[in-house]
Amino acid sequence: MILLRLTARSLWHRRTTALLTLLTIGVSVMLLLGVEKVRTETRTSFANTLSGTDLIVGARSGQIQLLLYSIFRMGDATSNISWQSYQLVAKHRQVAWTVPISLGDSHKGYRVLGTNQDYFKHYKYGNRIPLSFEQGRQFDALYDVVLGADVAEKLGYKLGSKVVVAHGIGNASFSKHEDKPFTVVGILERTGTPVDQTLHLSLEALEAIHIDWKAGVRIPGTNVSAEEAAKMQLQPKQITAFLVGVKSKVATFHLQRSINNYRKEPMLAILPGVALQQLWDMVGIAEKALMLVSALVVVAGLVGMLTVILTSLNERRRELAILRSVGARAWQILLLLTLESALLTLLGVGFGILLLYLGILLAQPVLASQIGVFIPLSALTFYQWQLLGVVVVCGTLTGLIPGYRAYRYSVADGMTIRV
Amino acid sequence: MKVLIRTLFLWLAVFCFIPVVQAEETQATDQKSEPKTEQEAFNGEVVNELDWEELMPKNFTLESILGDLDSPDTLDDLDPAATQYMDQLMAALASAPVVPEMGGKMVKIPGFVVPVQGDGINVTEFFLVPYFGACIHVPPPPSNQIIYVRFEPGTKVENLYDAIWVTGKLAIETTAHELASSGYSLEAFVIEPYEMEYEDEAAETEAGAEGTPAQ
Repeated sequence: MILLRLTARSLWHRRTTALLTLLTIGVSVMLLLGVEKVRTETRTSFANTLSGTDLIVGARSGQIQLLLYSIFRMGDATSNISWQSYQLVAKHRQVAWTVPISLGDSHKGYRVLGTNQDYFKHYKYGNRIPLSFEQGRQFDALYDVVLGADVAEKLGYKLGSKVVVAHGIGNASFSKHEDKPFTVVGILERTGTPVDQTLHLSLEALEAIHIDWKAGVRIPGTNVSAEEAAKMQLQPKQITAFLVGVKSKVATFHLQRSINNYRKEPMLAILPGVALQQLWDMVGIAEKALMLVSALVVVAGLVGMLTVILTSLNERRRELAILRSVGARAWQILLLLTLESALLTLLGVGFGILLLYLGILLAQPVLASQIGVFIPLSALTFYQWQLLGVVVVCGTLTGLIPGYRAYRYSVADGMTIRV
Repeated sequence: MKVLIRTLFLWLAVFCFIPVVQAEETQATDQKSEPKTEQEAFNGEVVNELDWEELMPKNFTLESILGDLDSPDTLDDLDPAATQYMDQLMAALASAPVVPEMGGKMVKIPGFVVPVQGDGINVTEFFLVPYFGACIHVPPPPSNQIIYVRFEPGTKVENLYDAIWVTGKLAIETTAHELASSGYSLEAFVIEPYEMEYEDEAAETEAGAEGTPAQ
């Protein structure tokens, strides 16, 4: 006990260097925990985005790509699929429900998703939680729009607000569908998924705003007014992708096979769970590299501590000699130095945890709005505690090195020090 | 210099230590909250080790489900008749007959995981299939070779290429629609990694498992 007090006092005496060491270890520990936390939370966030959907069908591209653009609104579709093919699958005897998805437009950087009312019935997230409305209702009229929670909050829209949809998916667009404004009729409850950053409108509405865009741009003089467009034939001819729920789970594979083998149009059906797992396999390499880097930063932090203690050792030879003279054994000197590094590491780890939570608190809103990953202020996981345990053990073991030196000094030096 | 060498050795020891901790952690979580079971019994019930073949009725042959059709060997891939043949085959395979006696049995069966529902770390619902992967040369296994597994605590799937053992209660689920096709489902109690029988192959999978990150 007296040794611990001695250690603490001694450290306090050298508080500037001790504090800097603490900072180094703290930052490295924060990095280690942060990387692990972001990794697990991203996975959870991704996995929670879609639930209860058996197949996602889109134009033939790659499994991961289809998953990313249809569900996570990342990247773009390579091609659309025809309405006929969609109807064919939708009427298949094994199919219980389908939800069409049409992407490609945006509003102030938020993606616009064209769909139908089935979306609100069948789209589920988390553990099969359906979407619910914070305010208002689903779209019924042609120029109705339903907002995700973030869109409404960030852009300050309320029920009844007018929204103009822009062509393309940039943050700003110079070709807007300003002649056909939409009215907000519903705002969805927050889900923690990309749905929060999406504006939902009907497939017919998407068709309507593109009526006079047949040439890829609105040709002057051929404008169709909002009222005229509403009267026209608005049957969509193509969609980007659709979600499928099957009647019997075991039929999933066979339905997938039939869709993939459909001769008249190249389509791709994927099992969301499998595509997500493949995504993790790919991302796994980067994750491992990040973990390695943060582990090395911890090592660097500990080496820094070692340097500080070793350099201080020469200055402290007299202190140690005095300790010896008042009755400290040589092994107690060793213990003293080991305790010092253990204490430093322990405090550093504590400081690191503090920094981590502070960091999460600060980064939370940015991460949520930028990449759609919400990182909760949750308790450390068992694995994270294990990581910390390893750090503390390593730090303590590091202390054995200066400890051993001090031990040798104190045996050899006695009271006469020749530095 | 001496100190430097000693330091080096120490760090070497530390680095050897980290993988050991991780490996232990992986093992610990694999068997997390699962009681150690005897091979033969679980909760006082007899566990039968099941072969995938046993899930097919004895008289389940291509002829029995398709009737007499021309041999598909003579058909070209892009022949309309081939397409028709494939469609029929697919329809038949999608509602393959099950063995009713299997319902309610306590079984242990090896297979591969096709995840359906999970939270990103643990998979709680998945398909168990006898072979891995989207082999695009042939149709997927018939519906009586696919088991829908629910596992409440969830299992970690680090690699779709790794086989597992699943122990649990088998049930036959019949979905009520015009086809009245039925399939197997399984309430899993224990999930264990599948160990290869050959030593060198076992070593290979071990090495593979170490390469994957511990959660």
